[in-house]
Amino acid sequence: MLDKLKIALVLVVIGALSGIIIYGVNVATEEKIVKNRIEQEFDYYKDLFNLDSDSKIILSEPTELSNGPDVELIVYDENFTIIGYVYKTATKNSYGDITILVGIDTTGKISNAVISATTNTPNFVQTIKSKYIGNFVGQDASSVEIYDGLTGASYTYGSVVDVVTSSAAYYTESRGE
Amino acid sequence: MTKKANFLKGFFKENPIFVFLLGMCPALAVTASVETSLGMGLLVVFVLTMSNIVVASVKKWIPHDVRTPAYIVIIATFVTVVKMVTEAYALELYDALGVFLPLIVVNCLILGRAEAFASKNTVVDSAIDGLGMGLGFTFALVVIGVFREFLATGGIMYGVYLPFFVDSPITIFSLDMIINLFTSGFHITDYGMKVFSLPPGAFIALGIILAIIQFKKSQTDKKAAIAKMEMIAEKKRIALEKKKQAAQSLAKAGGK
Repeated sequence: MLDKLKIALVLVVIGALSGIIIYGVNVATEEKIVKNRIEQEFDYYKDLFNLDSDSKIILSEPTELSNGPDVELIVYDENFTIIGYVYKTATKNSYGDITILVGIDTTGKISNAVISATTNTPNFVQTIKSKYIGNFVGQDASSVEIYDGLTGASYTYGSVVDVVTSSAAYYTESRGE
Repeated sequence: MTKKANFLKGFFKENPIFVFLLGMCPALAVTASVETSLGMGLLVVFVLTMSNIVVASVKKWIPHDVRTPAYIVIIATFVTVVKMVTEAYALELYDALGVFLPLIVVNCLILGRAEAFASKNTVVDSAIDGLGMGLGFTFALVVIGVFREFLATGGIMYGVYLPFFVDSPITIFSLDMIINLFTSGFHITDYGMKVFSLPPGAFIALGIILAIIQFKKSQTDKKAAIAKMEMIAEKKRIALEKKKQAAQSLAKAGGK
């Protein structure tokens, strides 16, 4: 009986100490984690519309979409003038997970596309960012022309193409003239 | 065992991945790039060292029957700490490692060292063992990462996932640098063996590396066996010579 009590006491003490340590680290890092996530998100939206890092933007509540992209957001400047629309899509390819943001301005032109999170190989992502994403910038959302280039990062590029075309199609259907 | 030998054994002689084939889940899953390999390795170094220290410190008070769940709780505590700190200070690495970061809890290397070493040795020796084994694990992950990333993309990048020492991503090495001396606009990534960045590539890469290590080991063993045989032959020769000399001197003595 005494042995069982001893075992229980040891496990309780270990569990309690673990809980205290985890709580302490959580308190110390929670604010930083939330701040990081918000900053990261806002930086991506500024990148999408080629805004300075100092410029202020206001975001609408995200609208979940049933077809095409996952989420639509409206980006305003500090005077509540619409800068553009952001379409966010999280998808998978053979290299791993990938989340892509597509920005379309009020004139219906694709302002930029950003790979916001991915587990794809960095060199592939870098190649797509530097060589292929630029081809979408300035294109009209109603007629996206796909640059059919030979690339070693074909799955990453394929995901970007799919997301950009579906975002453009959604924009044209719901917000285009 | 000296402290130096205790520290160094994890790199080659008892390397967790290349010799014991422990911790294969991260070795196959997160080694598509050097950075994720290095990041995962450093996190394992922290968890392994800290859990070894704590297990060695409290081993007297943990009843034998419940030692494994107790070790798991200790390891899980450090993994949770590492998870939160990584999310706070290396968000890109946290996103890239994904589910494999919390899965460090079930890395058999960590529980194995707690059970086989830390529970039987002093705190200092356990800390050295944890550090050495962790760095050996990191070394193995980085070797696989370099192999895979280079073959898949023709280069090695830094600064995408580990935001330390650089402001923006840099290319540490790329064949583009050499090839573009003679031409322009060449992208080696377009011609890389992309299978090496895919899950099957992890198995192929690990298989090739293990085959090279085994080949080198068999060569060394062969040389050692030849040297041993030569030594035995030499000893036999000397013994025979001595026998001959003894017989000759005996014959001489008999003749007199």
